[in-house]
Amino acid sequence: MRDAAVLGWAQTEHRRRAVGETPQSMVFEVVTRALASCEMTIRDIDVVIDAGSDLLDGRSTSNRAVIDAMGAHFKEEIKVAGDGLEAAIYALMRVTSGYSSTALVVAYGKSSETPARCQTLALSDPFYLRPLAVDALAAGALQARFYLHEYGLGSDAPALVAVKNREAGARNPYAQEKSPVTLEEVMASPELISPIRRLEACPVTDGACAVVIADRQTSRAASVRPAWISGTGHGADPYSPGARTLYRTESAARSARKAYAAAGISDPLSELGVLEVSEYYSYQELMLYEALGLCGEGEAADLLASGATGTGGGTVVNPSGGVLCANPLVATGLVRLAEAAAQVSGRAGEVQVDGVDRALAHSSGGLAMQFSSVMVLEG
Amino acid sequence: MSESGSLKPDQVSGEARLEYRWAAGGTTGEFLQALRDYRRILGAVCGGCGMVAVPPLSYCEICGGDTDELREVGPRGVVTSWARVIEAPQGSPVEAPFRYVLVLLEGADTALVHLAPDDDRVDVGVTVVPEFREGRSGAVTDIKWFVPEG
Repeated sequence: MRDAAVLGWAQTEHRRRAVGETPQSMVFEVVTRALASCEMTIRDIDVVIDAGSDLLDGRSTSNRAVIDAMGAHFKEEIKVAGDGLEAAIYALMRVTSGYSSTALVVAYGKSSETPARCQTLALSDPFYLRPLAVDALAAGALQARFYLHEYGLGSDAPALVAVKNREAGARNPYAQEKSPVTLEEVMASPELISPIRRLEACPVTDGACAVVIADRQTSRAASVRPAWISGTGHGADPYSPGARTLYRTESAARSARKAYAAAGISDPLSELGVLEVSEYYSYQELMLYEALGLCGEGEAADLLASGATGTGGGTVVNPSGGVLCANPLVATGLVRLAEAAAQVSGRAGEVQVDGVDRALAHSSGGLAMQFSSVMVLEG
Repeated sequence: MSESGSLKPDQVSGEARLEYRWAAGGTTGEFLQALRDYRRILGAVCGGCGMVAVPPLSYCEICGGDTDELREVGPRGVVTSWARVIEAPQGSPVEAPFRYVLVLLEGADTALVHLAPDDDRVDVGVTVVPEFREGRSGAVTDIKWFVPEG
């Protein structure tokens, strides 16, 4: 499948608090740079598909005030309620259906402007979860323990994810967390909700990302090397955490299988050079190794410990440092796509991994990874 | 900085506060009524796959079937996961420290997210029972938390 490609992208330098920036100014910056990165102008774009959060912005139908900063006035424009990678999947459908030739995907989140845990507490339904103050961290902690217990793993197993990703993030000029940490430091960092420790949780971040997706004809004629989209998948688990087999992220597994079938991938560990996954908490990266087919169930800790997914490994996971190094909520998954596209087209700069033919971008959303999206890219 | 030496405004503050009155719906309403009036926990029996879901919904999250009936489950249950909270989050109904727990109640096929005291006996596989509050209001917090049996 070479029907569409990612041609251009840009992300902000992610920060705990982007003083002096508005959502609009961050969006304007990444849109301008993403278009420039593939030598396009806004006139070359047929449709703008964006992801933002009414809750973070404190405005209803939040896209309406950001339309002009995206260059979307007088164009078709659609807001997707979810992560930016979901907006990218919509863009892919637009350009592969022939309805549009080019799509600009935009996602942004300014988490610094409201209390961080209230943002994910609002994911909880008002009857069964919110009265108990169950937010993303609480649901994640229950999932983490479930997973560790199922496979008899100690709480140091996910801590190694933080060590690996912070080591990688130190090379990423866009990362928010740029200092490596040792296993001892991770283990000694305070428990937020056990078994998740502070250094195993995503930071609070302000940031934005924009990506240009084009149909085959436009991509073939482009002046830059396309990152071809060869497979995608998207889906959700049941809403109630207790209604799921919580040590497994079924929606990610199904999304990956669908994407791999389209891309002709049968052994992801040997066929993917890089995976950029959304690990909001360290244990999630382990669960995702299994869901994305890098190893069997319960084998992720061993795969991580082998070094296969770290710097210099054969299948590098999160060479950008991942979500543990920057979490521009809503844009987080779209950043994974930008990083994966950069890897397969040899434009990843300081975080470039040698010889990446294929890469995968993953996003998740909701409580305990309820929503999953996957996209496979080829150079 | 301006000539007067003042700083440029960095931000403006505001509040977006909305009062909601969320419709509970028939199924959730019955569940909350049973908690309040009878100290009973109800699960939804799926007409499609027969799974008993707690907390109940009017549809099945597993197979997409319709809920046939509500059936009493528990009150005993087994802890399938737990997480310790040292600092209470905003809106927490109990003081920290406490634990979040997943409880698989007897007769149920899905687990209920709820609370437990920060007691080292609260572990995976341990049997727990609900402790109901006095002065119940028809909320999931009418169960204060689940405590180890015995």
